[in-house]
Order: sequence, then structure tokens, then C-alpha cells
Amino acid sequence: MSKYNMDTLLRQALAPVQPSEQLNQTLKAEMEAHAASGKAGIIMKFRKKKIFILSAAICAVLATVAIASSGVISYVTGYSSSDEYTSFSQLNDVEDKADLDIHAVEQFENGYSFHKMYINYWTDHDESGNALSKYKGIHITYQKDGEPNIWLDTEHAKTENPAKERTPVQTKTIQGIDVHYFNDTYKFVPVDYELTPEDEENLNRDDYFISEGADEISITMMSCVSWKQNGIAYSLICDCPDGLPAETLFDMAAELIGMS
Amino acid sequence: MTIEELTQCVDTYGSDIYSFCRHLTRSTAEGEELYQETFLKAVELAEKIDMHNNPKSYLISISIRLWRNKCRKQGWQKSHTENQSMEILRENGQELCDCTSHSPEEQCIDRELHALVVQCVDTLPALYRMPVCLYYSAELSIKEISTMLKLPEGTVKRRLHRARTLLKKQLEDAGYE
Repeated sequence: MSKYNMDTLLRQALAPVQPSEQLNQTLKAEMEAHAASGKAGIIMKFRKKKIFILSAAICAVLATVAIASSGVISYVTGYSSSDEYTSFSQLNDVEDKADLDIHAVEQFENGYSFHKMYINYWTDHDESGNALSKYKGIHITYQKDGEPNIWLDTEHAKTENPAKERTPVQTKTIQGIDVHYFNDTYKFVPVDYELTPEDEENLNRDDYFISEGADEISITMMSCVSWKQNGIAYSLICDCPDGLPAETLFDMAAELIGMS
Repeated sequence: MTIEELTQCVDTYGSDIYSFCRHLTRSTAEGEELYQETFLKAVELAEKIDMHNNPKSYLISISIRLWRNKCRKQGWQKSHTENQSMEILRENGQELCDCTSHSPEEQCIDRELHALVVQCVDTLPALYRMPVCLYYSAELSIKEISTMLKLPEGTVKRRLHRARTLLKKQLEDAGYE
């Protein structure tokens, strides 16, 4: 076998192979989200049903994520720190950038007041990891002394959703609009955490999620109400260890729904 | 480099980098993970990457760094497993055969031979395996490999030559002439 044959043989055997279109599509979406999020990058991957990597701030939004009946729809999200706004008067600018017109207040009657807002960048994937659509959402954080933060997440309501939505804990109709209440448990674990038998059992529940990426193990409750109005999907979310009563969130939702 | 240009690199250099990652890790699954981690790391380093100054080499060097860090952290002594090589060569062999106009018998022999070549490459000492993967899988030039591995070009050529000699011996021992 001559040197030249060996060279040809190696070129053939080790010839470059094209990665799958699905792999590249997912990769590009993750790259864009990673770039959009800057240092506070938040990348979510569904390695296994209902296990994902995300920040505490974002994971609550997934309380309203529709879980596909045949698998899991994953979202890649990020936000850019340069897109953070600290004045409620900038809402118009934010709406223009996100191409959304939303109902939002500077202060709720219960004392929660505007703290900051930013634009979320979302990419939907099907269960095979193929990117389906990209869109933007508006996130507003509200604060109240001595109380956990509540945030409002908004995005265009999906008109075609192949997923089966979860059963809410409670539903209330407010001015003709159904508002759903969820109360989910989130367990934050470090990367490469090994699931326990109890974890496996809990993951069979609709209201239990495991989030990878934390420094240490912790468990919290995410209370959320969600509804759709004028083509916009709204979620009011609170991250608090003991959960937040449904009425608190229903009342806040009522204020937003009632805005003309 | 902008994110758009980096995304373009996925299309332009993706197959070279992907193949290199697969052969470096000797596993399709780990190769895919390294491939993704490479580009995500590149996003963080985007400002340092010059679109007009051989971005492929820079991306490959990111892959190498990430892989070495990973091996070091896990105290990992990668051991060759026949199954992993077979997995890669099965995919490679199929893709290669699709591109040739050989007869089915010749395609079968090609697949078998390529399988053996990949197996033999996997057993090469890292000293020789790295330049082989960079030259044949990532299709880098001698000069690019020399810059990346911080070796003289003569040393790179010598190691490639030595690798080919070792591989030739293994193939002859296996009955190929």
C-alpha cells in the first residue's frame, strides 16, 4: 500500500460529514439566544421530558407552557441586558420593539409597583428539536416591600397549538375571559444532577418540574395565572416558597383585563 | 464577528468541525455535544474572531480546548471502544457509498476498509491522532495545523507521515495490501 493510496484512503474514511439539518437549526437558535442574553444568558434544553435548564425568572413562565401530547415543546429564550428598561414610561418603545400591544399598569391596587421590564426572545421547538418559530415577548417585574416579586410575561397568543394544555388548579372567568391558576413545584439542581427515584415519581405529575443549572439544590413554588386577551397571552407569576393564593393573582389579572 | 456571521459559519464550516469533533471524541453523541459547545463558546468570543482570518481554524482550536478541559476535569482516559468507531464508520461508510459509483461488492469492501481505517485511527497515540484528524477530518492545511498546535510545520509533516506508516502497518497486518 503506497503512501499515496494511504493518503487517499484516509481522506475517504475521515471525510467530513454533514451534521443533520435539525442539529444545525437547534444550534443556530441556541446561538442567537445565547447572543441575545449576553452574560445573563439563559439557555433551555429539554434533555428529558420536563427537565430543563433555565433561570428562576424564566422557569415560572413555563407554568403556562403547553406540553405536547406526544412529547415536549422546548423554548429557547434569552434577553439582552441592553434591552432592560427601568421606567414604565418607556412601555411604548418596548411595545414597538416587541411588536406587541399589551395591558400593563405602573402600580397594582395591592401595592405591587413597576420595577423594570425587558424583551424576551423565544424560539419554539418541536419534540425533535426542530425550530418552529421565533418571537418576542415583554417581561415586566413588579415589586412590593417585604413581598416576593411578581412578574408579568406577555407574548402573542399561539393560534395553532398542537400541544395539550395542562389542567389548571383553578379557573375563574373575569369579564368573559377564562383565567387559569397554576401552582407548580420547581426543584433547582446543579448540572449533571442524578435523578432520584422520588424525582422520577414526581416528574409524572403535571405540576412538578426540575430545572438544571443551579449552584445548589433548592425547591420553590411557582404560582401563576394565565389568560389570553386580544391575541396576547398573559402570565402573572410569583416565585415564593409557600406559593401565592390564587385570589391575589386573580385580582391583579382583573385589573389588567379591565383596562380599556 | 457578528452573530449573523457566526451563524453563517455553521453552514460554511459545520461539516468540517462536526466531523472533527466526532473523530476527536470517538463518539457521535459526544461529538455532537462538543460541536454545539464549540459554537456556543464562539458566540461568547465573537469579538475576538476575525471573519476574514481563518475562522475555521479558530473554531477548531476552541473544540480542542473544550475537549482537553473536559478530559482533564473528568480525569478521563478515553478508551477506544469498537462500538463507537463502528457507529461513526457506519454513518461515514453509508454517506461515502452514496457518493460513489462503485458496484455493491466494491461498496461493501470500501465500507469494511473504511471501518478498519477509522478503528485504526482511533487507536493511534494522541500525538499522531490529533494531526490526522485535523488534516483529514477538519481538512486543515499543514500550516494551519502547525499554528494551531504550536508546532513547526516539519514536525506536523513528520507526525502525519509516521501516522500513515503506523496505519499502513495495521492494515497490512489485517490482510490489506
